[in-house]
Formats: sequence, C-alpha cells, structure tokens
Amino acid sequence: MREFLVFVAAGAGVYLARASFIAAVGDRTLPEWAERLLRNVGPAVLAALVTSLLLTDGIGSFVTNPARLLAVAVSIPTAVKTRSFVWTFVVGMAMFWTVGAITG
Amino acid sequence: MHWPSARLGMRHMAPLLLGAFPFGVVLGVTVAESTVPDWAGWLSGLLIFGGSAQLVSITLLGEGAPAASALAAALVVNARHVMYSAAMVPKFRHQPRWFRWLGPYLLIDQVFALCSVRDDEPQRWRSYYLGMGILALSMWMIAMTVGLTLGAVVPDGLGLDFGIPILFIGLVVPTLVRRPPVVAALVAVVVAALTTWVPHRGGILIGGAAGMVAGAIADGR
Repeated sequence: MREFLVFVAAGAGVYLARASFIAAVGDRTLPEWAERLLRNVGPAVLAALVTSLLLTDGIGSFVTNPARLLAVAVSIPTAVKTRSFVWTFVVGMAMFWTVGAITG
Repeated sequence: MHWPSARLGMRHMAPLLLGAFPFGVVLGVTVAESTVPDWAGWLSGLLIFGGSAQLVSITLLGEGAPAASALAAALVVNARHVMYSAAMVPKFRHQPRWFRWLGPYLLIDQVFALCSVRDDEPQRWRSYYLGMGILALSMWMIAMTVGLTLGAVVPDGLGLDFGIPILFIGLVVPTLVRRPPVVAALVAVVVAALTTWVPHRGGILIGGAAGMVAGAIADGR
C-alpha cells in the first residue's frame, strides 16, 4: 500500500510537470537559465543514481566483487559503442554471470 | 478524431517502441523480483507512464528506502518534462480545453520528439498525437505485463538486482553526446560518490543537483 501511494504521488508530480505550461493559461516560456538546468536533469540524476547504487549497501561492495566490477567495466564501453541499453544490459549481465560462475 | 492522422501517428511511433518495449519488460521483471507488490508495480505504468521515474521509485522502494526518498528521486528524474511542456505551448494553443488537460498525460519522450516537429491543422495534429500516445501506453502496459509474467518464472539468485545499475548505465551513457551533459554526468558521479554517507540516499539528489548546475555552466560557454 505504501508503494501504491508513492506511485500515485509520483504520477501526480510527473503529470504536473508535463501539464505545467500547456494547461496554464497564457503564453509563458521558460527563462533561458531554467532551460539550461532542465536539459541536464536526466544525465545528472541518473549518473548520481548509478553511483549511489554501486557504492552503497543495497547492491554494495562492487569494488571488492570481481564479477560486479568487471560487469560495470564492460558495460560502459558497450553503451558508448552500441548506444543501446538492451545490448548494455545483455553484455554487462553476461560478464557478471560468467565471472560469477568462474569465481564461485 | 481524424483517423488517417491517428493511424499515421501509430505508424511513426511503432519503430520507437522497439526500444521502449524491452525497457517495459525489464521494468516488469524488476517489479516481480522486488518487494513491491505486483499489482502496485503494474499500476505505476498507468499512474506515472514514465520509464525512468518508475524504475527509480521501484528500485529505491524495493531496497527499503523511505517513501519520501523514492518519491523525490522519481520527480527529479522526470523534471525535464517541464521543458517539454514549455516547448509544446505553441502546439497546444489552438487545442480545446479537454485536450490541454488530457494531452500532457501522454507527453513521453517519444511523443514529444515526433509531435513537436509536426505542423498540421489542430484536429489532425491532435489525432496524430492521440494515436501515437495511446499506442505507446497500450504497448507499455503489455510490456510490463510480459515482464511481470517472466519475472514470476525466473529463478531467484541470478543477481538480477545488479542488472539495474547496468541498465541505468545503458540509459545514461548514450545521452552523453555533447559537452554539457558529459560535464553534468561526471560532476554528478563525483559528488554522489562523496555523499554516500548522507542518509536515505540523499546523495542522489545532491549529486544530481551539482551535476545540473555544472552542466548549465558548461552550456553557457
């Protein structure tokens, strides 16, 4: 139930972001500085999220775990080269499982 | 409804859904493997209809983060939609009131990319928009259903939770094509790494905010 309420609130927030200017009356536009900040929300927050997930306990101890370290190491160049999250996931997880099976 | 325009919208959306469909499936699997109840996770598709905001909130809730952290992270990830909204104002100016309220619900990245560049008379443009938006929403919910079904049969112990940061790497790295987002991402990584001690994963928001500011400064040069 707690999860459901979070999704309701997040849904309302995401809807408000999308409706903000469209549903408002008049013809306002974003100031230049706000647009420059918003343009980089995706890369900045997702990069911070990956870092937080890899360095703290939930997924944790990635530096001392060879399978995890190698999976991350191989997934970055894969993402650069293929520009596809599907291939990144496939190659990264293949590395993770292979090294995991070898090192036990 | 102008049906030829609606059908054209669906045809233009279809190839973009080849990328979104696997994302929806992975999201469904993630829900099935996490402590988030399946029904609530499935409904997040209808309630939020935004892949990264859903994945962020499901991941954080699944590992026991407080509700407020999961909510804040989801909202910040999708804050870029304010920019889409501002850019779409001229397109919505001649639309009826009901569509100015309904339209934003369907304003995902792919709809924005296609509809912001299309010039057409208002009724046709609206049909084009609705056709692709409704197709995208239907396929998204089907993809999540497939994922939830798969997740129920995939054995535990595969370490699929580790797939989530890998998936996020695959989502963020391809967006790093110009200097400002690269600067934003690098600063965000460094600041998030230095703030992992902040409780409730506050480092995500601190690192994200630092990255946004750094990216904006790099953009101003």
